[in-house]
Amino acid sequence: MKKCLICDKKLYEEPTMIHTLWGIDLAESDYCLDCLMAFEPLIGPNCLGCGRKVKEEGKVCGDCGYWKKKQVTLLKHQALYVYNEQMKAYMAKYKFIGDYRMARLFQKRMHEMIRQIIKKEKIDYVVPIPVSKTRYGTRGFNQVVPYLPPTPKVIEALKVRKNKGKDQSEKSRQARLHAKQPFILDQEKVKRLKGKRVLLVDDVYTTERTLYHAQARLLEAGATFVTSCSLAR
Amino acid sequence: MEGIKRERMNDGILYGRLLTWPKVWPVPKGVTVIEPFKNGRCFRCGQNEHSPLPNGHYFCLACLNLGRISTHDLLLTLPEPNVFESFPGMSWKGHLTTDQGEVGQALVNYYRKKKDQLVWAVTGAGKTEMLFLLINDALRNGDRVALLSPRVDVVLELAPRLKAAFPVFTQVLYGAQEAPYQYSQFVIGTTHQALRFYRAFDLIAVDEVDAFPFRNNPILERALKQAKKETGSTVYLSATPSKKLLRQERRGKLIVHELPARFHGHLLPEIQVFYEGSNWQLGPPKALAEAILRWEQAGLPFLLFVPHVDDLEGVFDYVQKLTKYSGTTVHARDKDRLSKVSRLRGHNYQYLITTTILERGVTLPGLQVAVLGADSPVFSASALVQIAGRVGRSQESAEGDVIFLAKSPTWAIFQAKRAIKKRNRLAQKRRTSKK
Repeated sequence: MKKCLICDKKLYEEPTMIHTLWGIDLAESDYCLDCLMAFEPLIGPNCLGCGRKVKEEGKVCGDCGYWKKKQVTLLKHQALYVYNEQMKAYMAKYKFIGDYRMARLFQKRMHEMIRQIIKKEKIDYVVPIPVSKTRYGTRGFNQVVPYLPPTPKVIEALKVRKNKGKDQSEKSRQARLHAKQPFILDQEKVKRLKGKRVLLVDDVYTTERTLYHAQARLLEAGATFVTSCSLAR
Repeated sequence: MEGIKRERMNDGILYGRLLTWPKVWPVPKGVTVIEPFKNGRCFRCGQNEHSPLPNGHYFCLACLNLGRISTHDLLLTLPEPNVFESFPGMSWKGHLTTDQGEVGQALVNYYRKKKDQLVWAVTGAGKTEMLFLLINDALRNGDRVALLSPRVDVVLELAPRLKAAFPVFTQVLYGAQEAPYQYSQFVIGTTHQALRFYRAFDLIAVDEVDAFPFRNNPILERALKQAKKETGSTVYLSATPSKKLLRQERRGKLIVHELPARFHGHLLPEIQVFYEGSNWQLGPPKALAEAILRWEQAGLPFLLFVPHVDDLEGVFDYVQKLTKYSGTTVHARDKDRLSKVSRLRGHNYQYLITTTILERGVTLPGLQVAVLGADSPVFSASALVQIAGRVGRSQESAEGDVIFLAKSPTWAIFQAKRAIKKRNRLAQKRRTSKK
C-alpha cells in the first residue's frame, strides 16, 4: 500500500491512465489531499523586493526597506509558496531526512516559474545556491538542483567557503543577518558571467542575507543584473 | 554537527548497535565498519528496495523512517562486551499463581539451555509477571536483555512497571522519543528499534507478537534475529499466535508454554454475535442500544470499536443521544490518545469509541465491549480475540459482555469464537484434571 510521503497516511487511490489524460500531475499522487491542500500559494500583492505579501500593490516591505537604505539593489524575488508549517514539514523530510523522491513534487511548477522569469527578464544564466562539500557528502544532493529546468543556461558558479560554522537552519534570525559572506566564486565558470543577466535559485527565502551575499558575489564577477526566485518565502 | 560527532565517539553508544556514519566524516579508531549495501541489499533491514540519488547513489526505502541509509554512508558497530554492574536482584515482591509460577520457572530452565520459547497465554493471564523470573535470572547472569513490543502504547504502559521492578539502568526506546540513546543492560522498546541493534542481546522477549506491525513483517522478523547475539535466544508472548510460529514448534525449533486460564481462574467471556441488516453507520442497531442501556443501569464503562476512523463521528453522534454517559472518540493519529485513555481509567469518561488501536493494553475493571461492523476486513481473528480479551480482566468483575454486531458472518468472527471456546475448554479440562 502506498503511503503519503509527508504524513504517512495510507493512500487508497493509485494513479491511473485517467489521471494522466486529465493532466493531473503524477508527482502529486504520492501525497494525500490534506497534505497537498496545506501548502499555501503565495498570492499578491507582493513586495517588490522579496515577493512577500504586502498590503498595497507596488510597495516594499519593512525588511526590504532596510536593504534599500543600505544602497543595495533589490532582488525582485519571486516565490511559489508561503513558508508555513506544512512547507517546514516538507523541507524537514526532503532536506534533513534526505528523501530525494520528494523533489518531484514541486519540480514542474518550479521549472515553469524559472522559464517564465528567464523569458520576462531576458536572463542569460541561472545559478543555484550551493551546498557545502560535507553537506553534500551527508545529504547526497543539492536540494535546489532538481528544481532547475534542463537548459544550458544553468551554471553552478558559486561554491561554499570552508568554515566550521553552524548550519544556516540552526542559526537564529539575528545570527543569520550578521553572518559573513559564505560564498566564493568558481573561477573557471565565473568568466562567462561578465556583463550578463543572472537568476539565483534557492529553496527557501527566510532572511534575505543568503541571497544578498550571493548577489554581491555575482556583481563582483561582473554580472549586470541579478534577480532571484525560490520555492518558499 | 561537531557536537554530535564528539558525543558519538563514546564507545558505549556503539556496543551492539548499528550507527549510520557519513563517509565524509572521519571514522573513529577501533570500530567495526560495515558497508551498508551488499548486492543492493540494505544491511540494516535486509530489503532490496531503494530510491535513486544523483550520481548513481541510492538510499534504502524500507527503513527510511529510522534515518536514511545511503551509499554515501557507512555503518559503525562494536561487539557487545557485556560490561555491566552486578545486578542486585529484582525488587518486585508480587505473588504468582501456581500456573504462572510453573511457566515462569520453565522459561528460566529453557532459557539456560538457549532455547527459543513461546508463551501462549490468554488475554489477562498475567504474561508480563511470568516474564519477571526470567528477566531477573538473565540480568543476574550479566546478560543484556530487551523487552520489545510492536505497540508504543504497550511499551509506555510496561516501562514504569518494569523500571519499578528491576533496579537497573533501563533505556526506553520508541520512534517519537527525544532523549538520546545510552548504553544499558536492560532495554524496553518497540520492535522497530531492533533494527538499530546488531548482535547485542542475550535475551529478547517480544510481547504481543501477533500485533500490527510485527505480524507478517519480514523486516522486523529479520531485525529480531540480527539484534540478538548468535548465541542469544528469543521469547515470544502472545494470546493468538500465528500458524507460522506454531509450525516452528512442530519442527522442534520452539518450545510452547500454554496457559488457557486467566490469573483469577475464571473463563474468558464468550462472544455474542448479533446479525442485523440495518446500516449501523446511520443509526444504532437494536442490540447495541439495549446493551448500552443495560450497561448504563449497572454503571459500567464500555469500549465501542468501529472499523475506520471516518466512522467515529457518525457513531459518536448517535451514541451521545442514547446515553447520559460522557465519552469521546480515539484513533491512532489522535495526539491526546494516551490522556483520553487515562481519563477513562479515572472515570472522567464512561466510554470511548475507537478503532482497533485500543485492542490491546487497556485494562479497566468492569469494562464492557461492543464491536460495530465486526464483519469488516479490518478486524482479523486475532484482533477480535484481543478485543474480547478486554472484558473481565479483574478479580472482582471476571464476567462481562462482548457484543459483535455484523451484517453477515465472516471467517474471522468464526475463528475468534472458536479460539475462545477452545481455550475455555482446555482450561476446564486442566482444572478438572488437577482436582
